[in-house]
Amino acid sequence: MARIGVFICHCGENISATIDVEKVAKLAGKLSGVAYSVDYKYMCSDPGQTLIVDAIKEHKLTGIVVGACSPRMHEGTFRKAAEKAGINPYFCEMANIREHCSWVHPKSDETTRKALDIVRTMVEKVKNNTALFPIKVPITKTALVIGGGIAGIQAALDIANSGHQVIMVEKTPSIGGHMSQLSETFPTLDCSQCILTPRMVEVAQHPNITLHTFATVESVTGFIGNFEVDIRLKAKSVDFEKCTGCGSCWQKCPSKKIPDEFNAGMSFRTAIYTPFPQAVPNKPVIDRANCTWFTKGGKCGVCAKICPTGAIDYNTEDTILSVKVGSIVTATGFDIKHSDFFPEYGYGKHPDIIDGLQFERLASASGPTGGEIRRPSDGKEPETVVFLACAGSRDKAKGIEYCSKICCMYTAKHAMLYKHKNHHGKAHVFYMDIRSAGKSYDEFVRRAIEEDDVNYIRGRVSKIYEKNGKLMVVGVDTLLGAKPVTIEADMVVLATAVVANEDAESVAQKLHISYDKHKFFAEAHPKLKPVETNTAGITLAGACQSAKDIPETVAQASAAAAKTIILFSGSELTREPVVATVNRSAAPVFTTCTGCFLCQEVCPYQAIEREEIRDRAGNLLMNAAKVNAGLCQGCGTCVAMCRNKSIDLQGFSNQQMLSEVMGLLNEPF
Amino acid sequence: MAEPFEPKIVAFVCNWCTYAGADLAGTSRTKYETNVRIIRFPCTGRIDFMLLIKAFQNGADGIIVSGCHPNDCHYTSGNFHARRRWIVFKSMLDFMGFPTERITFSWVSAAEGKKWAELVNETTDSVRALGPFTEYKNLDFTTFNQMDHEAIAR
Amino acid sequence: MQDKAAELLKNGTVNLLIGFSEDLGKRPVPCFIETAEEANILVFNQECKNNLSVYLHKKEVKDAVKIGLVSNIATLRSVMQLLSENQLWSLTITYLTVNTAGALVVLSSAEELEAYVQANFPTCRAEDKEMLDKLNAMTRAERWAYWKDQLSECVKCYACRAVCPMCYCTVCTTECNQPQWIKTSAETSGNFEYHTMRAMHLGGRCINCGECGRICPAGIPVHLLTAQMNLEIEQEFGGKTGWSLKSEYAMNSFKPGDKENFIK
Repeated sequence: MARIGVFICHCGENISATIDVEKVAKLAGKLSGVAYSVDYKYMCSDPGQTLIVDAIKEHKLTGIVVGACSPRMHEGTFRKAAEKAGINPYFCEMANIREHCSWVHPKSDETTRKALDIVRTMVEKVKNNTALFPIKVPITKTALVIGGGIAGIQAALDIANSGHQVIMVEKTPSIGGHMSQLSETFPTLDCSQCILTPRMVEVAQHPNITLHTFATVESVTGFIGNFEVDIRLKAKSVDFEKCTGCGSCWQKCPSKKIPDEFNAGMSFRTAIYTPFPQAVPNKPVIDRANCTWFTKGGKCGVCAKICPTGAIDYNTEDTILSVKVGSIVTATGFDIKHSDFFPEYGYGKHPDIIDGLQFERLASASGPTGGEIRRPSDGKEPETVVFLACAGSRDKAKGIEYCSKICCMYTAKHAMLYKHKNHHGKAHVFYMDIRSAGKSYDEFVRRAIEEDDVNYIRGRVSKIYEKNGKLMVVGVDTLLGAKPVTIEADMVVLATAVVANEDAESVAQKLHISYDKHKFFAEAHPKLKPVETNTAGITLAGACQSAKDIPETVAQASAAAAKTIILFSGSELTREPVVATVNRSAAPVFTTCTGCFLCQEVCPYQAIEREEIRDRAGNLLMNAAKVNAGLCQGCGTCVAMCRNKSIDLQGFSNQQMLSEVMGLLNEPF
Repeated sequence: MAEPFEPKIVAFVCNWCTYAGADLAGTSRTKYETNVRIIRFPCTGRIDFMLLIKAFQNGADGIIVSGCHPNDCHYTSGNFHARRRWIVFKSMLDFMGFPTERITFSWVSAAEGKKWAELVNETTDSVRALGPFTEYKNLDFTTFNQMDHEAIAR
Repeated sequence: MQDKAAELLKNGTVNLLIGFSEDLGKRPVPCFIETAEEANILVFNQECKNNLSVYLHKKEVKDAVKIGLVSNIATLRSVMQLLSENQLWSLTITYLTVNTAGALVVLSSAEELEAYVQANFPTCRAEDKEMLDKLNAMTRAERWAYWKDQLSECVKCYACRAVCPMCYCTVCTTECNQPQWIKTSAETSGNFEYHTMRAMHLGGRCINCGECGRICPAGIPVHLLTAQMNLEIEQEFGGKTGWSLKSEYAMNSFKPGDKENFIK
């Protein structure tokens, strides 16, 4: 038999000014199931809470309704008070008679009547409440970081420095990502590799970080705190225990004509190679697709012969490493469009029309031209270079309607680098807008214009073609009234769009995280949860979520690390028990669930699983839905979907919601 | 003397947007009509259409169903499922001849306190003009009234 | 058909065959045969209107595991819909049907069934379309009067639920009394609740066999409710019922671009 206590708060004058609180308390005391009803000036204060605790004990109350402010304010406060008094905190509900009543209506009988209605509604609900207990999920305190660029590196270091184990997986032979390909970074123009490589070495040497390069994530199962991940360790063909990184192998490798990915295709590498001199780990792997031994049935073998430690082993196979982790940070990065997205720009038709990453490699001291800006076609220094900003972004008609964010800044940077290296050269930039919103960013762009004499032309380019050995760039200057402008250039650099990696979709599907139509991974809430995904336990860091520059990437990576550290900070993961459950009972009924699994499809968190119910002989009797309480967030969409009401939401159950509606209407309004 | 008719409006709202919007109306002291009573759900996806019918059956004259704007759902997709459910439910009720103008569906975000107040006022005015929802209550009484009471008494 | 049925029973492909047999000059009735010898009672003609897939949920049928099902196109579509809802996983079914040319067609797998159904997909029945058009042309008040009139006749026998293959819930909402969602007595308001709920639960799943309306002892055209729902759902959201092995249920999916004109 329910013994509900009703506590009506005056809230100073906030409620009592328009509502007759004594009357509400008195009438509430007459409601069926209410054993005690009182009013008081400030329920949330210490004496007010003591009043509640004492009343629960003295009158042996089984549940309470506090008629006061919004539950969004003080539900937690009063639930703690209930717990202190010895009853389950979920037997406490709040009747919102302030924000929804006293503050929005004038002083009148009508307002007092409404307050009583609201209290009565919640009394009816509480009578149907059940005891709920926080759900505890065990946690494996190891993190997986997918991706070894600056985002992954930062996240891994932060988590490792907090004392937890990190496993990092990088698909290329070295960590570093695109940042290692940059020459200098804006807005300071400091050398990219100089700031990056110390971090890379720290990752390699950190006792808490296990680094797997030339490896990919094969599959992910499980849920937050309890993921099981299979990592494919691709066959390196080199035993890293024996290899000393001396470099004799790639110096002698006869396959020298493989386009070098690190140099954006502007030079060649060998089949056995390290991607760049500062690679971490600085040991080579064999690109089997282009290695003579593998493609021509055992011919060659020079590297094995020449290796002083006998580290080459052509017979290794891919292996799968299974690991258990509690949290996953996705830092898989981005790519830029390397295509003739605008055929009229001639990318791919002329070697001197290049994209941003290729220009970075030209400008880079470790690049194919030793840091000198030279035309890929004939190696001469270009006298006029034209840079095209927005060469593929912000264009709804072409399918990339977003802004790639970094191009305005790196275009200014490229123009400045060119001018610093070629003092007499002419640099022109065709732009639509200049987006330089970060710290010291606008000053940087102004420096390009004012100090380095870069000519900024506001207008787009319609065509680039070759004439008499020059690249004719035909554009328009809108600030001079759309005056047509043609520049005879020696080299053209296109700021192409930042896009998701080619394998982004398959990575997202393996992780069960959402992605948008451009294959950028989806955050849980665009403003308030920019690093979490809808899959509990998986966070995002860096450009895999959306185009961003290095400072933002590092900040987001640290945020993802913080989320992971928060998860690892308790011994168990405690979650609010407002979750759905599917009924279960004894044989032969087992459950009223018919196994249609329509609920499974609507759950945004993949929290509904299939359970096979078997008899003792192992025969399958039925398939039924089961909710993973560790993943369920308590939205209740499944509950409204279930035709025979086999699934119910604790805290907002069918019984509770119906009794609220009936309690409200079955008395005089 | 009979009191002028004041409609009973029940509002089914989601916790994260509309309930918060109503809270904001309260904090801003925006005044609106007293006829509405709010029932809180975690998400509009949780609102079972049977509850709406039950509400009408037990005396509600009008109903408001409100939640987060599409793409803003705290649980990502609950309001999308709710929207489909309402489209189908409304057309079914229309087909059965039910006065669907007594149900107001809306999206009210946590920042739209003013919109909430206006919505309540508009709905109250329109339902007041429609009058009490007797057709539903009279569903059962019609057959009773049609019975020949004198014949039965004899 | 009799020969084929006998063959299937004899060679053990089928343990239990569900079909139609004559009933002393009246309409053919469902029959259940287990031996080849009984196969000569089978008939199949235009009068065989029952949707035999409803029997696939019965325990006796499930225990037999290997089933033969004499089907009209509606029955086949019901089976497709049930398969897309994970309901018939324990059964191996062989389907015997007659195509528009009058020839016997035997379908032995789910894929064959899907191909046949998609090739022979029926359109909305003429008499249903006519009634729906008439109802939709009425004013709202007229429709209310019509349904009030019709639903006051309902005695809550639940025959419509019993005959529907898609009503397979082991414990129906009507039987739930904690809380009591639907009034059990046969008052018009309770009837209204029940039929609204049933139509909502069937919307996007019903294949419009029309059995519920046909067998209603009070003569209420309840099949029109679900027929209208399906029309609306197909118009608004696309997707056909009883079409594919993969569930295309409109009510548990959504498109961010779903359009409506009544949400403020």
